[in-house]
Amino acid sequence: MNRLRDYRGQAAVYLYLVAISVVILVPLLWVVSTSLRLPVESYSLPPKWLPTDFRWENYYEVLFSYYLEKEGIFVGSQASANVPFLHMMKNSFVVCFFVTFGQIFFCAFAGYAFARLKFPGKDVLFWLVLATMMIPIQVTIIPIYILLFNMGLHDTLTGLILPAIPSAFGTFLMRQYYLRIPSVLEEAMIIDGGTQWQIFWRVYFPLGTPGMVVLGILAFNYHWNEFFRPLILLSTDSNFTVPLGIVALRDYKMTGSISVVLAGIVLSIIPALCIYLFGQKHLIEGLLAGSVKG
Amino acid sequence: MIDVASLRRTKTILGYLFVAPTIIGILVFTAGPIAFSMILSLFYWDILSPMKYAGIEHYRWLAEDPVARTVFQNTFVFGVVVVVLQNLLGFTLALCMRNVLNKYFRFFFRSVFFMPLLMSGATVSVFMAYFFNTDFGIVNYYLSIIGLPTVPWVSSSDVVLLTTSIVYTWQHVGFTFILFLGAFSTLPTEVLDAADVDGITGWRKVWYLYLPLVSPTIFFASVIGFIHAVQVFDHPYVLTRGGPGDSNRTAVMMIYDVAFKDLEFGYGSAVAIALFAVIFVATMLQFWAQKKWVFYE
Repeated sequence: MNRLRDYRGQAAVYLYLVAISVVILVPLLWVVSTSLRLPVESYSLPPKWLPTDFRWENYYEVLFSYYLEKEGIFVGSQASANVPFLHMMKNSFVVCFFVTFGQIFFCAFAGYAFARLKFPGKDVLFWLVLATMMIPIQVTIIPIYILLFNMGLHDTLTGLILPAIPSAFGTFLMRQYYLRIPSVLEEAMIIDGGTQWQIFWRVYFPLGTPGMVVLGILAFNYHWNEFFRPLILLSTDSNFTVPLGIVALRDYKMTGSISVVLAGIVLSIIPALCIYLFGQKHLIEGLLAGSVKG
Repeated sequence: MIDVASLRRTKTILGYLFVAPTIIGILVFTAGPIAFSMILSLFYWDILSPMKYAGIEHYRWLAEDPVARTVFQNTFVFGVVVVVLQNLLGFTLALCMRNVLNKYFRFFFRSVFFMPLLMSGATVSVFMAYFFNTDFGIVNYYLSIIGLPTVPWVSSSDVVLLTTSIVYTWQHVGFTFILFLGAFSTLPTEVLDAADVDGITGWRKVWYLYLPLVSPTIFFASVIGFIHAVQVFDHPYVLTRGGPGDSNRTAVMMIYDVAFKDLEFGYGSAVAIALFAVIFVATMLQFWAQKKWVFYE
């Protein structure tokens, strides 16, 4: 009797988990299969869940039709012809590259200083870091826009990258990592006649790598998907990042095929998915650490 | 021989050098702007003509403007609905995972619940808008197939905020799930064993044991979830541009509209400061909650 109840309970548990998984996976499956569909069938009801046509031209269109049309070759729909998607992919990679490595470097320096060095005013400065961690970008966007406007950096990738590099959260995260590394290493280096710089560069910086990976993955994922800041700071198509490009694709598509839009979406997900497969543990760890940030 | 004084001096110099870029960056791009926002909220300014002092006029608008009232009400309701949905789903999913021991199944479920977090809110909203389309969306198609009335998901001002909450929760439930998964993995085994010995099972176990034991996480997830949710922009903007009417307009959308479309940077800053006040209170709650959390451990 009890055994039977156990089985039933177990079945209910799996049923629930599978049901929610279906709710999450079904839209994604539809996106992928419809991105491979013929334009005429892209909106057909009842929806077909599995890919049937494998029309890879949709991907070709979203990537190249803007550039081909410039050459006088017209392929596909109006939507993709208006959106320089390759430019946007490149822009997103450029932004993510500089923000990610910028954050890693500067946060490693600052985090190390707050964890291991002594200097007057350290506590006040660290308090400043903590206090600014909870201020969201949405609240400071107006002054940032005005500042970048006056610097002549609005509608440039530099204007998108520069304010994103100093990270209070990243500094906090790196400080926590460096605090965990035993100070015996430092003392040994001093006795061996190592300089402060050598202690940092040869010992602590390499040992902080796991923290940097967590920070790097979070920064890449965040800025790859970021929409609000680019929407306000960028205004020229060829400066757009990928999420702006997806919405532009959608807006240009008045009628007809949505397959091309969905092909763009699939392309935009691939880099983030690779990052997840490469470092899911780090990403989860980072998000849990990030939850302290608020 | 080790020269202690010079060691201390290099530590000081290196310390300042190391924190300088980040501290200057934070002052220029975060601390400065928040202070400037407060000042700007007391002025009329469209960037082009000179600033004009407005006093607390913008805050008076904020209190009297019916749009502002709707917007902040939307933002609050959205925050509460999202927090409730995320907690319900996150808690129950993590609870069910206690019974999943196969490591491949665990990896599968965890990855699936996590996957939407890897996407942009804007991207998710683009394809969800197709899904929830009132006339030819897939959700309504299936509702009509099974004989239920269709729902004007994105075309009725009564429903659209709920639709946005569903889309947002669909995307973010993985985060709450991970929080609860962490909480369940650190439960005190002696308490659970004692409950087993006493023969407490089923719903009673959930109600009297699991819920109280993870209650700090429920509080924590609620405050964090609320702080994130009231900053929502991508989803309502991409789904319906805030419409129909103002029914899907949130505080950040109002900042965007007022400042960057109407070029009223002063009023926009006042909206931003009001939102900041909401987030500030929620953050203070969080710090207080964390103290409780640490105390529990």
